Amino acid sequence: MDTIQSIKQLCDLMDTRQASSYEITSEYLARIRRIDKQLNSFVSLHEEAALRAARLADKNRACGRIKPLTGIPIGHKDVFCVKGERTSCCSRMLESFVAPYSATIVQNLEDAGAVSLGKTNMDEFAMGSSNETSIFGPARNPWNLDRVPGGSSGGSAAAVAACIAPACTGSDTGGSIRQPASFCGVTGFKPTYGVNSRFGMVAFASSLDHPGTLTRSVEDARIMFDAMSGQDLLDSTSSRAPASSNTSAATRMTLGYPTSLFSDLPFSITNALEEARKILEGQGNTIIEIDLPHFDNAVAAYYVISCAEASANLARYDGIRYGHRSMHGSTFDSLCEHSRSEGFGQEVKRRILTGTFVLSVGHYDAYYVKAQKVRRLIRDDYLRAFEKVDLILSPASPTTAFRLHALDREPTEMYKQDQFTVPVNMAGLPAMSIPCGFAEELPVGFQMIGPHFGESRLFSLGVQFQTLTDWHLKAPNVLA
Amino acid sequence: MNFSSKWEPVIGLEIHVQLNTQSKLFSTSPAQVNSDPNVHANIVDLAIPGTLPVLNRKALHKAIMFGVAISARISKTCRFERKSYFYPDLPKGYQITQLSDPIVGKGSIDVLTEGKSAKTVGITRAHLEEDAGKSVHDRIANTTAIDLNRAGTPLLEVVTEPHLNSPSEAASCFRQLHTLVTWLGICDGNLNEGSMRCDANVSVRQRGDKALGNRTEIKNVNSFRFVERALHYEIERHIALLEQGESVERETRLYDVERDETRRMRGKEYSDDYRYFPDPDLLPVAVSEDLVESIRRSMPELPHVRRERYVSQLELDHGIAALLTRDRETSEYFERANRVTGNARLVANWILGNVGSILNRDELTIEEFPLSPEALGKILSHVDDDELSDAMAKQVFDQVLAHGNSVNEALDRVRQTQISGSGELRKIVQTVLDNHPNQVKQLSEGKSKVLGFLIGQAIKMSQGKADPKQLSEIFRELTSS
Amino acid sequence: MDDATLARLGHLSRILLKDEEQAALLQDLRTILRFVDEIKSVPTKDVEPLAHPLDTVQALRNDSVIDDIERDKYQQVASQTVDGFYVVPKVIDS
Repeated sequence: MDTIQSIKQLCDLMDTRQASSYEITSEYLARIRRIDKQLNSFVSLHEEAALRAARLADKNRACGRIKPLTGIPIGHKDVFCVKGERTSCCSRMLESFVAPYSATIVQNLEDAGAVSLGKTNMDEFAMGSSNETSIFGPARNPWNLDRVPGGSSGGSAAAVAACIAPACTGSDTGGSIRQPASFCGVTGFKPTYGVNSRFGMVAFASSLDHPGTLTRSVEDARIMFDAMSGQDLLDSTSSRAPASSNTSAATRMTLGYPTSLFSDLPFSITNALEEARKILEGQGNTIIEIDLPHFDNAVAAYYVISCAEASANLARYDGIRYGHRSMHGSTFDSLCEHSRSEGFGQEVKRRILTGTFVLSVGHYDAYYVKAQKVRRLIRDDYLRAFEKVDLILSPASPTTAFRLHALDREPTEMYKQDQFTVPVNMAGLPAMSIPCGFAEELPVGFQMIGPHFGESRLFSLGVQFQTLTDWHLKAPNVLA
Repeated sequence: MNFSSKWEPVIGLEIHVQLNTQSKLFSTSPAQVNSDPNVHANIVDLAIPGTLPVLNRKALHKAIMFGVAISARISKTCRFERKSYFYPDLPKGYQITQLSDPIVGKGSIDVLTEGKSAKTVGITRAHLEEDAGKSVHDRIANTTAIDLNRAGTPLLEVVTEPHLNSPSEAASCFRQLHTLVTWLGICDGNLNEGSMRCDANVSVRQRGDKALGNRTEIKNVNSFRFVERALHYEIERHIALLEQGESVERETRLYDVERDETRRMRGKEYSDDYRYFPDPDLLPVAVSEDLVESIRRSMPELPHVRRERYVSQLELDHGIAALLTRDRETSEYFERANRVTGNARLVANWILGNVGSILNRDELTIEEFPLSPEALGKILSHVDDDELSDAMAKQVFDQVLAHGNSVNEALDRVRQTQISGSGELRKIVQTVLDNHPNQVKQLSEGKSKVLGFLIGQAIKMSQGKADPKQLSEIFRELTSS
Repeated sequence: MDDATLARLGHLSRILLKDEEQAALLQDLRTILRFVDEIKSVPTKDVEPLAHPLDTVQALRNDSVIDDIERDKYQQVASQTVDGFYVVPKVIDS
């Protein structure tokens, strides 16, 4: 079996009986055992269950019961509940929490035949852009083990990049899929807000949380999307899924390019972006300049809103019904305080305290309401832009993968990592990060942003790009 | 009730009405509280990570129904907020409630006060929220045990304006709301089980003052009588403080039933900062005109409308109309019996009199009363037709109840004992005529109303055994000459 | 943002602040607030707050019970339960 295999290729292998799901699953488990000590991309493995599921998939395939993902092993970010398995969010708080149910998207993927390999590493409660806040230690970037894989879905990105999982789920609240995808050279995708159900995804910031995927190709992202999306009656904010492929979607598109935003970027990044732009232009797509006037305000507004929502979302961890419970404290209040202080890491505490502050009496209007108004301005900027363009192009991150501990002393510097991705979550738009080159031997990705429910355009342009480029076919030699 | 001519109490109520839905407000677990601990708490109620709320349509409809019943503005888009505080029986660390856009806006209800006409009391708002679980203290020594069966059950919190000026008015308002929500069928009204819980805000000011005094809040009272007594105690406490020139401290108090007094629970200085904000797990709820209209059409005739109708159309006294509409079951019984008889006053008197005393004696509700309203109606229609005296009707009534006879059987039996020999009746009639010369004179002057009185006297004399119809004929015969 | 505010936030969010981390946290929060304060300069007159990216309204659920409750399983992840109750140290009302 070749190192690099897309979902599509794996399906072909099984269809043509060159490999069974059992063999494929075993191979990926073996790769994980072999190299994941260095990467730390998985935080738990479901070996037995995976092999059992693989055998069942082989039986189903033999009987002709073939679904789009029958027998395909995937990893789940540790933010998604998988019934009977630990779901820790890489926090001490949930270190021993075994989920009594499966997230809707996990169930949907399982229903489509997927086999769960295990849970992938992440920043604690998805709060971070480097995967360094995980209690299981940071995941490493397979292109350079001294570098971070990005975050918060760092484990998923690293695993897919290193080819120890064909595809992984991820979650994206402010860029947590697209930034690590860019750092690790894989395809990161999140659809329109609500199209993938949030039920069973441990909440960080409810109005910004988007489940999505990290895959080897755009085509794989589409296959995963078709299997996992759809309106969920268990999630009040969920929407009906749009069709992933729309033949009427213009093959030649008008692409917005907000050049003014890229002025501070290092040459290596703008260079790769320019290359991508030229390739797309060469295909007959039109590039036009667009303006997003409130772009610069997005990160600050995002931090107000996401911390506010997180401060309430994380109030349920009181040590009573599940989660870490302190040995200290002789009253409920003091037990609760000790449990939370011991169970949460520094970054989570910072955000809870910030969120508590912006919602408290006297600050609510100045921060929370104000941020929501700014949020509308940001969204309206995009809506206006999409009157003129089909998609918007931008970088996925202002840098390539940085060194471990490079930013962990300065929380706000870390927050600025998300400047190109955060505004998209504020507006709930579908977006994708696609590998488009290397800078100093580290992957660079560019981002495509679509209008609400414009997924098919992203797939269409993404496939177009990947038929002309081979950046997505490169893998680090960490396996060698 | 007058505390003194100098002081005036000002009272507002907040009443938590438990809506009687099958499932909880935001989860599909059964809204049943009394079971083994935590057997009715599902993963949403337990706030297991990753779970999300989904609003129960029925709960929304019931809230709208209440709003329509108090002629309130129904919010076209209502929203839910999170109210954050830590308590072991609050699993999410916040309660989902409504702050800025409650489903029910300003409305009003008419509260009947002792011997006075109805007083219109403003309802500030009513909003949907989820209930918390129950904390059981010291069931296990030095611990608090948590049962989350109640967590997530739907509440409608009704807030009144401070329009109430006495404990009895407050109790009456509470009772009126109880009647309304049980009448509408949106709450089972079981006060002992906490289906309705009342918080009372009270302050006292000098009569004539515009400004309100410092108020205290009495939490969680669950009977009409206790609301009245707690307020009575609290108002006297306020007045005593004020008379001594001291001020009332803003605080929350609990009513101790055993000692009939209120006690300080916590001061306002400890009040939490609840950090309300729109719940991002829930979207705005759109309430269309059509929906409100269809709920309005599905609603029963409201108690106050029915009460007015009893007065204006059926010519019943205000007091009687109020008693008949105190609960929907009594009113329905009356409606059905009256449909058969057609003499509202007669039927009303019987239901509140003869029927009522048996219900009291046997501790029955009117729904458990063995005689159907139609059967009662049938008995009374004979009275209305003057075929049966009231006393004989009572005999029929008693027989049916005692022996389970059919109305017809009982009628036959009673009629057998009726004096029907015209000779005996003539004697009785003659005696009555001799004893009441004034009335005879009035009768001869054409005041036919007197006839009823004379027949009554004759029935009395016969110990209820005379047939009023026959008596009437004999009277006519003997006085027409 | 001062020590008293931080203490209040710690109390509201039930996060115990150890003496040794207090100073660093205070510094962090000040930095974060300075960072987010820039939104105050954005003109937002007549702008409605936006709580959700999509302008949709709530889908509602029918009032039907789904009986899928497995208390014993749920309580396996709890630190302490007795006779089906969750248990905490006594709550003392202040």
